[in-house]
Amino acid sequence: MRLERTLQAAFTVGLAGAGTLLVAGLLAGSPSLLTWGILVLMLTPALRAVVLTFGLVQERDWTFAAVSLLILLLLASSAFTGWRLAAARRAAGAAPAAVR
Amino acid sequence: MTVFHPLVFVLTGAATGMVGAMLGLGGGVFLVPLLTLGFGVPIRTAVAASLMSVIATASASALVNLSRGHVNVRLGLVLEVATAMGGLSGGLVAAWMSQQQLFAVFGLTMGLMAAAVIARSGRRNLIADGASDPGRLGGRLQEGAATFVYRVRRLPLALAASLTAGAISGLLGLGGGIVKVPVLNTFCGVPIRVAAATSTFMIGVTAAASAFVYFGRGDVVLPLSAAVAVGALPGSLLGTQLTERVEARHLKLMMAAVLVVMGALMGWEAK
Repeated sequence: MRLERTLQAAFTVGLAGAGTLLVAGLLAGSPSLLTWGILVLMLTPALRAVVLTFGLVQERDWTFAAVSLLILLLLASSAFTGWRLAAARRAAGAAPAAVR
Repeated sequence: MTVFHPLVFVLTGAATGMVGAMLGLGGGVFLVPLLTLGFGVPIRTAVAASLMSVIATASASALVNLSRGHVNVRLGLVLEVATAMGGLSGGLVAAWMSQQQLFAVFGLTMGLMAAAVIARSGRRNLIADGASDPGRLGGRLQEGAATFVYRVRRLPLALAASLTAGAISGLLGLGGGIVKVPVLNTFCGVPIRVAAATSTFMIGVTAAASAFVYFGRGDVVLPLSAAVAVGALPGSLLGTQLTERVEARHLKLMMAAVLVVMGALMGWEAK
């Protein structure tokens, strides 16, 4: 049950952070607050994947820890792809999503 | 594109988040057609916004479902791997099937699944003896004062469903819960609430994997995505409260109704 509680904490931190940033961004009409809010929101499932991997390692459940690590790596490769796409767009002189 | 007040999108996100949280779907299955057909949002923008709303819905419902002990973390993990592989192979499938053929296959599958869900809606997956062995992937479920046990059957089928769900997510920008929840419940012995809760625990990760790419490509229109995500948070929390008051059988019939409507819509698109 301890693992469940840690996972809950990860979701709470991510959602509270994203929710606050997004509401503030919408009210203030601030693209940078909205960008940060979206980033924190997208990173919330990643945070839960990290917490779950560590939790399973701590429980010495090696099989499932390995499965969890695999998912974390897939997520990381997707984030890396996104980051490279964004960098390529910036280099091409396209307006960042925040301004469009 | 007509300009709508952001509050309209907050309310839309709240409504889809609520139903999504109840059935373990994330809500993308409703949000993408609503945004494109209802509000004239371009498809890629709609999918990107929907992915943000799915992450919010899935995370908020998982938070509540974890405290109820309804999430089967290990089963979720195993299926997550299949979903991720499906997401990767989705692009390959798309290469040799036309959009029309895809819609026809999905529409037909959903129709058949709806029939199976209705036919088995009266059956429960619970073993009354709380002391019996749930197996490696099974678990226990508390209902009132009684503890029930469930076992996971036909794991290969669950894996195949997750693979398909992942492929659909990649192709159509949906969470994939629409495939996983009915299969887990109807064929694999998982109680509907556990199937829905486990699905919410998984689809946040599935959606995030696609969301990063949409964000990088510049498809995320900030005010729209923010509005639906902000609405999805309270909407899904309300959904998790409502689902506790609804009988398991009614949840299954609700799922069947969603399957019939979505199957018909996809069949219509394939025409």
